[in-house]
Amino acid sequence: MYMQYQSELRKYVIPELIFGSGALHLAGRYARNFGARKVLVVTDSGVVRAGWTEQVTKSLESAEIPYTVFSAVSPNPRSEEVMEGTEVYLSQHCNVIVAVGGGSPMDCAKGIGIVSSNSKHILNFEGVDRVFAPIPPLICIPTTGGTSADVSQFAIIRDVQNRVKVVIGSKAVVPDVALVDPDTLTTATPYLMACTALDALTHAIEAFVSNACSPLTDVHALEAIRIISSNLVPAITDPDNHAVHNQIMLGSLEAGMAFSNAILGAVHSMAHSLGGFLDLPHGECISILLNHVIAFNYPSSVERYERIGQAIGLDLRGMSSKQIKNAILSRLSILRNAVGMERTLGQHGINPSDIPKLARNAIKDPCMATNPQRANQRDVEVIYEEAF
Amino acid sequence: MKKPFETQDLSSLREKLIGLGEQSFRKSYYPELQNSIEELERFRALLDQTNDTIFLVHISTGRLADVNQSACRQLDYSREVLLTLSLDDLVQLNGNEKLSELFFSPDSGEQNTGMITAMIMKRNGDPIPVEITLRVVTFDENIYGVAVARDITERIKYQQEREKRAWHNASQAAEAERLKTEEELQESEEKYRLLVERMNEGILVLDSQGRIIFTNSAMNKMLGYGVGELLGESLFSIISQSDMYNAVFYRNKFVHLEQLNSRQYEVPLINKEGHQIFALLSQSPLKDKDGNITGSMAVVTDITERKKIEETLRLTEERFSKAFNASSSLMCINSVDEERYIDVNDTFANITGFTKADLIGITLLESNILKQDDYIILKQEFINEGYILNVETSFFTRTGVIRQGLFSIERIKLNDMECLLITINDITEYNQMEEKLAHLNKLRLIGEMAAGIGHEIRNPMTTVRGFLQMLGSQDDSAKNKRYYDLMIEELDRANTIITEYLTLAKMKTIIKKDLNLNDILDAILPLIMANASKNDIYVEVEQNYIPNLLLDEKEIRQIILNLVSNGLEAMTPGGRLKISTYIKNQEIVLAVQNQGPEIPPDILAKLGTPFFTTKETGTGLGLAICYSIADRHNAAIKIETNPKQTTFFVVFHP
Repeated sequence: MYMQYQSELRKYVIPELIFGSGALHLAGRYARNFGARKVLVVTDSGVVRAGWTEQVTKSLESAEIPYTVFSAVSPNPRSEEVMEGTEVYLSQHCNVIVAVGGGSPMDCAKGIGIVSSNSKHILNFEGVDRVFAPIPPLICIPTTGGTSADVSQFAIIRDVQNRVKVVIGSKAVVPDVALVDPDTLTTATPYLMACTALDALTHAIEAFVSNACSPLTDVHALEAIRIISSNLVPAITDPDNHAVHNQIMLGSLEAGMAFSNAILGAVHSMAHSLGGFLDLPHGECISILLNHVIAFNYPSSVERYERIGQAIGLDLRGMSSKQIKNAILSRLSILRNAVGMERTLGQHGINPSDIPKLARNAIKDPCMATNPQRANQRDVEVIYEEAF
Repeated sequence: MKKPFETQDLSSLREKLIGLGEQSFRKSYYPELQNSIEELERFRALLDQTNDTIFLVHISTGRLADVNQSACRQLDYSREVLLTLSLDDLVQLNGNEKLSELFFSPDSGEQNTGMITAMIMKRNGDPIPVEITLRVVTFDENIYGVAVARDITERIKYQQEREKRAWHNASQAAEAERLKTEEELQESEEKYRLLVERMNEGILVLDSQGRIIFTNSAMNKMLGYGVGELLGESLFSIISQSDMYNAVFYRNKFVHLEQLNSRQYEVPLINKEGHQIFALLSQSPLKDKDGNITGSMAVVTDITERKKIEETLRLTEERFSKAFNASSSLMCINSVDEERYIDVNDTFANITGFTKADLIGITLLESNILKQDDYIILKQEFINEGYILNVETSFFTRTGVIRQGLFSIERIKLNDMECLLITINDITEYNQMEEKLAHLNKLRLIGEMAAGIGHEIRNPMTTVRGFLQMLGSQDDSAKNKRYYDLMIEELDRANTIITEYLTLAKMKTIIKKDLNLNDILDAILPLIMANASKNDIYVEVEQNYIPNLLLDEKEIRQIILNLVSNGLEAMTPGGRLKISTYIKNQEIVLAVQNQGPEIPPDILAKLGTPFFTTKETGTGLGLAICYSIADRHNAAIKIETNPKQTTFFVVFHP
């Protein structure tokens, strides 16, 4: 499977990155360097309450750059919100976008950028490589340790009407600058921390077994798996530990660098379908599906999963491949339970009759293209049923 | 449901996700920027090229934000200096208002757009009158005023001039009125004068003595004279002297005005250089108040060109006419509608036996040269095809002899009239010859067959003769011996007859030997003498020395005998036939001279043609054989004929 793609060309695109404590204060300087006349700050109410938005706007003020804040963004940002934000962007004559927050504000900011320069409804850009006009300068400041929207080429927008998540993938959507400031994790709730960190871990695992993986991404993927798996529990239990925040943020960043270029797999395809249908938190969906997808994919990538097992700290010496698989799955279950993620799909109010529809949407998701094991409608339905 | 991925090939999707798709590139503003910059540069060039000066003004401060090149040029400031000034520094309005305040009306605070006239100051203080258009625009929330100023110096100058002119015109109007009546009188006279001068036709006025008293410029130009040069000259000086009779005739016409009514004449005039010009003169008399003729006036048109064309046409027709008459084919020209004869050529007249006078005016059918059926067939084909080419039809001469002809009919134009040109190629002789040739061929075939049969008969006869001889020698009885001899004798006779017959039928082979013509002549001389004396004709022989030639004796005998017998037949008893041989110009000549009548030229031309004969029992082959024998001996036969004697020369080229 991996041999097949070894001789292929590979591309590696990431934004200009600033990592470290206080990185977000550079927002003003970068906005000015981009020739900002007026900045649209895209954020959400939680981040505003946490005070990070204000920190960013202060940085803009000190650079004497006018700005408008758009914070009407919900978790799993909706297409309507993107269009609304675009309206603000255009009417306020903005020319630079700064996104502050988790995946939702950042994805919404990407959507606003796309619509403002391409003048079409956001849902027209669903799919890969459908954005042709470059978007305005976009500065991303992540405040969670997981979504990696600050480095990725993806924007996930929820089409409320059809209850689906639309994946927009384009190199043109990769932000210009990511200001990754671990300090922002200090205000994260344990649940948010758990959701985002599990998401990040899943990014790394899926990128590592992806059929588009490469040495360029493997190094980041394995490192992210190692960092996140060893810091996940401390991050919940010791929320004021800056060193742990640093590690989680770094792990998330590396996971992002890996998956934005090696892409994801069935976990994310199925999670997008779930999130679009039920508006569940993305991390929650991910954590429910991860083990079941690994079980499905395992035969296709035994060797790679073994390296993942080693990265999450397992001693796999002398074990059969089945034993290795079980060891990995049980370690991941333990991790999940340790951070308080215990619910199943059934407990989230999914009706078994919804499964065929969920599966249909999942196999249409672009992330399915890089899953190591080709999955058909029935395969996906079975995984959903197992996660029920 | 959305379905963008359903049909998408997974691997191409993967390709794009990895970032290797056609459109998988990170955003680049550069191409768009490049386009925008180029567009801006074009726009800027447009602005700079306009003659209007354009100012962009910060509304808040009144300072200039931007200006175009025309502004710098016309006001003689550099752009940098202009950008430090305000619009009010440059523009002076009529009142005390300031231009910068005019962008917004003071009362309502609303935007003003409109046009005002003002003075704009150059760097050296010179004012330029301008018309300024004002507009308010917003870029990036900044409000700007746009003032477009157009130089109206020229327009003002023009207006002033027009006013001045209008005033001037008014004062002149009265004076003009006074002059007008006067002018009108002159004008009428002038009009006629111009008419006469500018006419393309020449005008010539003569007094009662025939002297020229007026020529217009066209007349002078036509004859190559200068203005006034012809005045006082006699009409004679410009009429061509080539035909004095005509000159007198014309003079009478012009000077004495024999015909008082206006008339046209073609007159050969002569120009200053002595070349002849054909002119058409329209002449009319000039009379005084009492009706007495005081002279004449003529309008003269140069028709030399026309004459030339007419001449060319005449020549063309003449050439046609010559070709028509000289043609050996029968030709006639008939009208299209009734096919009446318009003209026939000499050949037509000769062969048909009609005279031209007989035919011209009557129709083709009336002339009765065609059978009615043939006429209908020809006419039908002509209607179908529009022409007829070489249709074989028999026609009649005046005496009713049938001849064969190839008919061709086509439409031609003669003197602008459509006519039919009928051409008949007489093939009567040709057809007769063909018939005779066919007959000869038949004879030859019979001869060859007879030769074959003869051979077959001779073989069994030889067998019979052999056995007869054998039996005869064995039979001792003398009684029977003479019967045997008789039988053998009879067989030999039959054999001889067959042999002779075969010789006659056999193709002649020529055996040339080194012989002397005189010897051959000597050999057959007794025969000739005998023949001649039978006809009571005296034969004179004059043999000179001649060298030997390669000759076939039999053929030479035949040629001599033929020529001699021809000569004997042509002569009346008591005549003299002379045979002579001699060398002339290194050629050996045999001449046979008789005292027969002169051979008419038409017969002379046909002599030697096979089957041509003037004798009632002749075969028409005698001379033809002579010609072919001469040909085989590289000799030529020449004939000299006059009323006293006719000589045939056989000239051998050794």
